[in-house]
Amino acid sequence: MDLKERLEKISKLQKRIDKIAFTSKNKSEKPKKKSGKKIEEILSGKFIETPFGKSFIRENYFPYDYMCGEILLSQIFKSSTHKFSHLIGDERISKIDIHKTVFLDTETTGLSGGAGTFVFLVGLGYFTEDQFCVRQYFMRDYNEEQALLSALNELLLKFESVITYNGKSFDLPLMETRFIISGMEMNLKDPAHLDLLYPVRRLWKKRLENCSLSTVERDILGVHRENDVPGHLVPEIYFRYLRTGDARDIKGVFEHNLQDILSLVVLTAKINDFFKEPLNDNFYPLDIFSLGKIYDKRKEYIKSSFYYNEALKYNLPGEEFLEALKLISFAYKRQEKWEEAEKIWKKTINKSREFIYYPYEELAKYYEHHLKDYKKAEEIVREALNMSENVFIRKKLEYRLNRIKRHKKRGQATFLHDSKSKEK
Amino acid sequence: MQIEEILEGFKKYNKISSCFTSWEHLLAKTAIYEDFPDWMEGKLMSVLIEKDIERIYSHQASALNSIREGKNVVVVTPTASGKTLCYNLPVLDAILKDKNSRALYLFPTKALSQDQLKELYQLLTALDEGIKTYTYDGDTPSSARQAIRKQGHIIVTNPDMLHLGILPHHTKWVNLFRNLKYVIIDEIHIYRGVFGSHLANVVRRLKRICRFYGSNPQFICCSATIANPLELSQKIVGEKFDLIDNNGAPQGEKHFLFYNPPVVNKDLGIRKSVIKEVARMVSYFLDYDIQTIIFARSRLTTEVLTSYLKDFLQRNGRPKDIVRGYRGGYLPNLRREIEKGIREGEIKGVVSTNALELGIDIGRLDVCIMAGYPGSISSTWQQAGRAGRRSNTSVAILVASSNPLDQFVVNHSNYFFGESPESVVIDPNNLSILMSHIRCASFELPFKEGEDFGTEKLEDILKHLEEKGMLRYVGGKWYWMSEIYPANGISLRSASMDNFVIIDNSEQQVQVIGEMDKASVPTLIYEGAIYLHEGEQYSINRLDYNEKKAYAEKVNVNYYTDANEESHIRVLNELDRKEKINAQHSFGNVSITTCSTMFKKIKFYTHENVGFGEINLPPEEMQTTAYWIALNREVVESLKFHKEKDISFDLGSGLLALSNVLINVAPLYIMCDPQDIRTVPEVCSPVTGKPTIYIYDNYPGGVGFSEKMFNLHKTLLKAAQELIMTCGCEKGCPSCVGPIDEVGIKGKESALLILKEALS
Repeated sequence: MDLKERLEKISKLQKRIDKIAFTSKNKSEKPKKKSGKKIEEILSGKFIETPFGKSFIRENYFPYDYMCGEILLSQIFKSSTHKFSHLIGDERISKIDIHKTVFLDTETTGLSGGAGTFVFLVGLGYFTEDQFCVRQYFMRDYNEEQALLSALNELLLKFESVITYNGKSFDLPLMETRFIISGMEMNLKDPAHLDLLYPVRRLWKKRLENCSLSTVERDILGVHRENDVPGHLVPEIYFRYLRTGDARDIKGVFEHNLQDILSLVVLTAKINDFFKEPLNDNFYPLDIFSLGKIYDKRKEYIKSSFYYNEALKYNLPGEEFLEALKLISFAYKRQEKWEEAEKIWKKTINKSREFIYYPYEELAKYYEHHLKDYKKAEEIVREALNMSENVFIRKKLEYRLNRIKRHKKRGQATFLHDSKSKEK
Repeated sequence: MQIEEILEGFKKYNKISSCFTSWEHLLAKTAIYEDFPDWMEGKLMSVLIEKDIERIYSHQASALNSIREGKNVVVVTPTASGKTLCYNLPVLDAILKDKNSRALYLFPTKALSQDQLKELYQLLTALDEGIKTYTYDGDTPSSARQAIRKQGHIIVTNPDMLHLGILPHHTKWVNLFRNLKYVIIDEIHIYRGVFGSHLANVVRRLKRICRFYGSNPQFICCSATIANPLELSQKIVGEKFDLIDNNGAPQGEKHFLFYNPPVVNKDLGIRKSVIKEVARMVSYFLDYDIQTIIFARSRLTTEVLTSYLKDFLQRNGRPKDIVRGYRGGYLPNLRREIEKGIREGEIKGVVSTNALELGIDIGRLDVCIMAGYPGSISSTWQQAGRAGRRSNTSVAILVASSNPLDQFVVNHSNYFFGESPESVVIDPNNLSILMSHIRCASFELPFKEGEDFGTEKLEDILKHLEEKGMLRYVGGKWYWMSEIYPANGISLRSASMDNFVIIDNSEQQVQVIGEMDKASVPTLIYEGAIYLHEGEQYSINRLDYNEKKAYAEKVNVNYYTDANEESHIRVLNELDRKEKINAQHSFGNVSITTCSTMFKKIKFYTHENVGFGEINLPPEEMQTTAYWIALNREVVESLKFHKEKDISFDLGSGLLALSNVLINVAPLYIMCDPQDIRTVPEVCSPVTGKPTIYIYDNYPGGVGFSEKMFNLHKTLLKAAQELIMTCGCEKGCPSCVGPIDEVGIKGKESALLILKEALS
């Protein structure tokens, strides 16, 4: 058997293993060279010269009053990123100058990251004095990578900050990797970086079926994409283009990338606006609840309890309702607003259909340590003991009960002692 | 009481002395010192002098000089001879001279890298020069990773992490790869067969990445005593090496004893149990607080022995804690505690699996007792090396079990002392392994036309991968064209790294008490098993196979449990066949099913069987490739009437003997370790309907050994024939067909008869 045959056999085996490990979509198609359309025949773009050869770019311009979904692009200038920066705890964000900011999104040959994942399309969006420009850099084949990087690197020089969606863990490290492998340095050194994925997760995770940008667009921004290319198909579309030389399907990827960039602009505006005026005309109680949690994380308990309270004025879903009660009670406790906290704990006991341990425990602690009302403390512990069948919880409760009893006795003893001395 | 006196006692006491089949006396050796080389940084010297190291051993000096000359070195000296200084010194010297210098340490196991770190830390603390050393492995928290990548001077990791996590992300390690001066591969003898062939390719990838960043590191390897350390290092690294084996470390005198337990039933040839004999032997030394290490062959034996010794101590009114167990599966903190106890001398006896055979720092002990032959000459020396103070007398005792191999070795001490230790065989150009790593390497950086990867097959493989659509050739380079992260699908080891945890939920405080590799679950932690942990007994109440958790409860019973595994081979499809006059040779895909169905309850001390239980676990299935030879029925029938030299033919013995020889011979021709392949002899195979010997690749998916054996079958059978004929033994030994006790008195002759027919 010659080497070729043996390689063939091993490949078959390896494919079996790959099939188990991944869902490979690799189909070996015969290259149909020259039958398809070239990229420049599909898209109106141009070639720019770089020291490493030509690179294809396409530019699109949008007026400031361009409507993306339900929001104007110019809305981003109406409110500052000040609040935003405070809430995500990154000071540099507050100083972002939108005119020196680039909105960035990449299309890649895979999602796994690592040195074998290539960036084949980079979209850069930025505001000029009178319009919003989106430049898309495309590599027609692997050997154009250096040209692509060198072309976009020139534009990057203009910017101090960057706005992305999941760019912190994906797009920017990947770009960094590509620059290193090409032996170049990226002209975007340590920019202020606003990655919208994190605030989106914190604000809308409960309300959205997932946190992908297209879901956010649909459910939050009111953007409706038509004939959109699903993100997970992008690598295979590019590979097919490389194999066949037919660029027709690549157009969809360009449009997908373009829409992503526009959405970044209005999403930033949307979040800015929400942080500025959360209780505007038609807010969602769940969003207000999430906002409370953000303040909680920043240890701003006055604000967090305020927003929980606002959210609780509406019908929250069962699970969130109980969670909101718990969080607001602890926010009160931290502010030492004991009476409010007590009210909430009692309310929780009344409202929940199943036994929840913590409000009993908190009430018992409050009565025992704070009010030193051992009678009340004993009552609440006994009540909990009647409700709970869990062995571990019962053990804890019994321990607490015994201690309260001891306190009570000692209390009575002192009381007796006092009265005796008075008698004398 | 001194060791010498105990040994005298052994000699005088006839009941014991009659059981010694060999008593080697190895003389003491004085140290050979040399001065520090003059080029070494003064600061480093003064730190060593503070630690009372005023001069270095001759082998350390030779290593330092070769390294200074820019050569790669492999250091082969016994355990605890100061091997680590051979690499720590040049590394630290280089970093002191240039703070940008970086070094990469590769250890085969996590436990070892932890241990190394501790020793290095002491030097680093004394130096106080801000040199940073970090372990980077699967347990490193992601929050710490970025700092490690940027700042670590010395990165300690294992080949798996290098393959899976570091090389594919080389751009995050720019600082390391630009400035990499030294790569240390410790315990290089561990990388045998497939594992070693994988490592060699990971090193090819590493060197390629270094070239890209403009560095050209030197390699420093360390090895236990094997036959071919120089050849092995050169194959793994693909460069020339200097061999450093002029051991200058001192060695006290040493007695090496072979002990064969007395026969208790002459008719059945049953000997006294190795466990009980070892326990008794250890007690002599424990009585006088002489520090003893006991090596057991399995985790179960380790635990049973630990229990016996603890009982012994308790009966004698002494603290139980001076004897401890040690094995894989103990949690890291517990292991560290035990290692420390041994080093500091509080622990007088430790019972261990071969986990302590590797270079974990526990210092040197007085006595080593091996409960059963460790399986290879090389391992035996390695374990025996754990005993040996610099000045005092030490003892190593091999206590044989009734296993045929043990019986052979214990009765033929010249075989052990005369033969050289085993060679380690690897094949970096094994096509299947090579192709896997070329995929990984292509992911890491596109291959350029004419690039070197240490093999002529590179271009053919690249073109093949291009044809498969996995690579794209453009502008003189092959680019990775797939969404797959190839390293994920390629494991360097045969066993999966999946771990089960054992949870004690008998107390209110639920806690994890140990872990267990997946492969051992069916024989050690099935429901109903008694799991022994440092002498404590736990009953496994529930095994959650999907969640990888076993729930245990502390119990106190007078038995332990033992389970056996059974393997079955099934042919999935035959890919090729050659018909010969008397035999047919085939090659194809097979499925190996392994399962355990029953366990025995064994009473402590009497070792009688006191009950059974069922094991309900799904069988493990592995698909791989096999080569098999089936003998024609008529031939076998005719052999049955063969009578020559009063030896009659026995088919079962012959097949077993022949498969043993093939396991010994094949690795040399197909370049693998004997552990990489397995045989199954069947007197009447359900598939072929004939007497058949299967040899399969012991790796999921196979790595091409079976196919090679199929193509080389004639050569292999001839080599087997020659080996049997030239072997000096009379009726069989481990070097040819296996010991007589295993293959029977007719094994050797019958194997020869089969070979003669099969080759005609």
